[in-house]
Amino acid sequence: MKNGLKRFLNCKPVRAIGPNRVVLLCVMIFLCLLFQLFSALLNRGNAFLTYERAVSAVNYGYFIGFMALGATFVIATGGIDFSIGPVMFTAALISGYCFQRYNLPMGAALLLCPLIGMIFGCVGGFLVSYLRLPSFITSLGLMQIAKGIGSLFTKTQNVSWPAETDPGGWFRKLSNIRIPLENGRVFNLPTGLLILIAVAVLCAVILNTTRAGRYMVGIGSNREAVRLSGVDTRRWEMLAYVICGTLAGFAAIFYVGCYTTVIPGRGDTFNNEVIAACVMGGTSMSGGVASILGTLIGSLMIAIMQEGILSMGLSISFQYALTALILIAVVFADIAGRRRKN
Amino acid sequence: MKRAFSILLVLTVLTVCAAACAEEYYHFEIVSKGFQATYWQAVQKGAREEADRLNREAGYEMITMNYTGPDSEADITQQVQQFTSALNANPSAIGFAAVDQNAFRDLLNDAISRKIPIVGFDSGVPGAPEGAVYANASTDNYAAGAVAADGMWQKIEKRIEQADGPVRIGEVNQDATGESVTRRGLGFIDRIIALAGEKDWKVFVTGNEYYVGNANGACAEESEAKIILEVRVPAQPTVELCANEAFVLLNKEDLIAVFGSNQPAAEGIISADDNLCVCGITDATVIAVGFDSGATLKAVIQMGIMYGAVTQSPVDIGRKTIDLLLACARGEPVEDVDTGCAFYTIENIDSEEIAQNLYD
Amino acid sequence: MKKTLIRSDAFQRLLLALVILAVYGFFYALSPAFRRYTTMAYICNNLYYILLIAIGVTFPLITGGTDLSMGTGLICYSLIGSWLMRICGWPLWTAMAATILMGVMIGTVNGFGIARLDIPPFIMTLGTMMFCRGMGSILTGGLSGTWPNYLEPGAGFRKAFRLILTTENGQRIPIPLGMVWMILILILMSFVLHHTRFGRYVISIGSNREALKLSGVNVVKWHILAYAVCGLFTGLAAVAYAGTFSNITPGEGAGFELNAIGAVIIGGTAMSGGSGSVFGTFLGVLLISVLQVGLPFIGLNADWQLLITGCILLGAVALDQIRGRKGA
Repeated sequence: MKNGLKRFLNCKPVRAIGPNRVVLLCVMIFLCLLFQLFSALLNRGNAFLTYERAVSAVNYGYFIGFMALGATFVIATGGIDFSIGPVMFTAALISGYCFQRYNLPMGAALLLCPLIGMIFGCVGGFLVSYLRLPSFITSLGLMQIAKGIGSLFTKTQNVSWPAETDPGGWFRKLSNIRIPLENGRVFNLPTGLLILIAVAVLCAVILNTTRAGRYMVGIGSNREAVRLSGVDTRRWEMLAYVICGTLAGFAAIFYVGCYTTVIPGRGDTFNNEVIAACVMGGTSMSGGVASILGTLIGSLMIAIMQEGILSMGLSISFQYALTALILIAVVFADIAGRRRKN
Repeated sequence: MKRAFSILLVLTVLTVCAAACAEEYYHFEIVSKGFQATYWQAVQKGAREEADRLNREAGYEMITMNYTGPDSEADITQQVQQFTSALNANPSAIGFAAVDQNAFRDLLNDAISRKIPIVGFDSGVPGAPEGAVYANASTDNYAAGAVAADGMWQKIEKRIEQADGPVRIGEVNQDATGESVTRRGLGFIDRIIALAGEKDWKVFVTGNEYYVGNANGACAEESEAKIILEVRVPAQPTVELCANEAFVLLNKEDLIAVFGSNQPAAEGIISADDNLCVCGITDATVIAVGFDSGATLKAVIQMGIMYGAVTQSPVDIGRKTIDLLLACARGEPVEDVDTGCAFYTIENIDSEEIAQNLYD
Repeated sequence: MKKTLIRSDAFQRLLLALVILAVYGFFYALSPAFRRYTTMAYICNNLYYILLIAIGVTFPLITGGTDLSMGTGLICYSLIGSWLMRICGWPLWTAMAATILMGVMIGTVNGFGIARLDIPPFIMTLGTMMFCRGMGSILTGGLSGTWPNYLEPGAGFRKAFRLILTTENGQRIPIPLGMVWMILILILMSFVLHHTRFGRYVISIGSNREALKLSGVNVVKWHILAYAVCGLFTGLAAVAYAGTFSNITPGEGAGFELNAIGAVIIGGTAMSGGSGSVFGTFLGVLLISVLQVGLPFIGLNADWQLLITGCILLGAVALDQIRGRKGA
């Protein structure tokens, strides 16, 4: 059994993806089966493995996924960004408010979201890479500032983006295309998933093949060495934060596409899930190791866990407890594995 | 003999078949606004009691229900996920109290096309697409706000008459978006304006934009007004932030009365007053009027800190919701149900009609 | 000479104290209502639990780690305490002891994971944070909790935080008794940090863990102890929170420790570890509380408070940098 496992973990396709990711995928599949079993037992007639549930789960996964992709860049440089959730909300608030009150056309509002995220990313990146402020506290401060700005801009009012049938509601097609069927039901085509995968591929290309990506990872593992080799580390570190902010703003489009209304002053709860997704996927908190594929799988896993808990008829609190256990288990396994290798 | 026996057999078989075919099973999904205030626990209790009672009457487990709600009334994401999950469970009917009017349009259209009836309760589902919500079991919140105003007016009318300058009345609303809170808030404001109008007093409404803009008949200039009505809304609907807003109000010298339009807002007022100790039932104190009940509010009314409150019938709301859900599932015609409200003070808090609606 | 004066920690604390006085004076001048005695009592009342968390988190921060589980932890423990009292019928003191004990337990678990299993502190405490957030709600069924209040038996424990005196003419005056305990705790923890073996080891773990290990000290034990103390303070903060607020809502708490950490940083403890001051922490918490309470008096609502707190945090960190301290 142990030999079989070793052979499995050492075979070529598994090594190409990375054994950590494969393990994560297996855990995900195992969880799906577990949820299916329990939802049939606990919640009569409520299956988990249905198409509708999958769509509902990935709805949650879109914005978490985009934010996690951005966070991967920052964590790769050895930093942390606590402001992603509130920045996403602020982008959604400001753009939505402009659309509602100032009659900004929807296309412009959609472009405004990542732009606002980029501005926050620039500020954060400047503070961390040029002024050398510690990223933990800086992002904490930025988080408060983002919440405050978003709230003040909309005068503490909620902002609701248009429904599909309202003017401007076409942006929802970016997340889901709803096709009505004859029997009254609606078929949901998860276009957001396609966009998520496309952006993930783009991020993977940037991180793994371009000079920028290599420098960012290098800064995370050994900043001095990179600097001494003549590279301006400040520029590339700041770029990581700019990418993170832009993706957070981009995530806003998918958040409002699924959940419509944004409440000012909130959003920090999503930070934990985003960071958990990155870490579960194999990105190391100390920097220098990053995996886009792992982050993607981690985000989907969080989304699936969330849906699975709901389908079992349990309250959402179980999701937090479960995510915590899995997070610690995954990290511990990773550390133990690395220690054994040494 | 043989014939009689066979007739009896056929009749028995037919009866058994009829009984078996008549066995109905209903699964209801109820998505509430959460469990933040003990008010919601009372609603849940009423729903469970009614479901149990109906099951006992039927003799078997005819009704199963799944009662959920988000962590807080600001958690729209959670409630959307829960409602989607409720739809996917293919229930016989759904009971729903939306935390946000706009986030559920598409899902409600889904419910219409899948022919799943929705029964609104408490604040229900305002602005729902036509045909989605079959009926509502709720309090008439606008009227409830007016009831609070009437109750408060009895106590403060003389004081306003005798006052030299303008007086201030405060209102703390947990948000400016939820249907129940906004209707109560506006009901209170409009009623105060009407009562003041009978005495030819002008009312100036200030504070949160939404309430100022939707008030009926307020005067335009603060200098003309005998009563200044200040409406405050916290950044987020929690008791602590409501307390901060109430703290600012209670610190104002000219404040004579304050109204909290739901349980968290009322508890926030009391929490702020714990630090200031200005509320009471005499003419030298601030007259505080709350909403719903709960252990804290009941205690402070009995201690003479809070003057009174308006109670709804949360247990009744829960019961009527289940009744309406069953009727919808059976295809019977349904109508809205107004579960009523009443003003209570230390004098009638123990009376039977009030006590049955109070909860901890 | 001048350079070392400006760089010294004492100077930063003095600066902070001046800033607090300036801010207080600003509100005092602008708003008559702010000048009342009750406002000061209110500021005191609201800061007990944040101060206790901030004192607690000082220890992990000095060792170079963090503890993100304090906020949701304190909500979880006080919820469970409320559940024990109301549903299981436990008496007040037993439930209070259980609440504090839970804090110590989770703190020890954190310490074990970080010191023994080498899990990065961020991840370990992120995990316990999410776990606590879930557990509190699961046990109480998502319902909010309350500790005994007003007329209920056991409500007397609230008097330890706020004593309400009734004068002859019926007027009630609140007295922030809790500040007395806070000051005692501050003096005690300052002594522990600077004059006991535990305190010295904690500081050494932060500045040079290897050297400490090589000198033969059981570093793991003291490291775990630092987190256990942090957990103890989380438990105490849970009691303080339950005693000063009437309602404990599950799902809250996720931001508390960030405010506390911010206050600690403003007070002069470096995130990289190796130095810290309990008194500085107190000043940091005081500044944030004065702002939180004072801003509504001059007409600025909670949004401005977020904005201003964020800017002050950034300013404090920038000041740290200018003074030549290296950050994490």
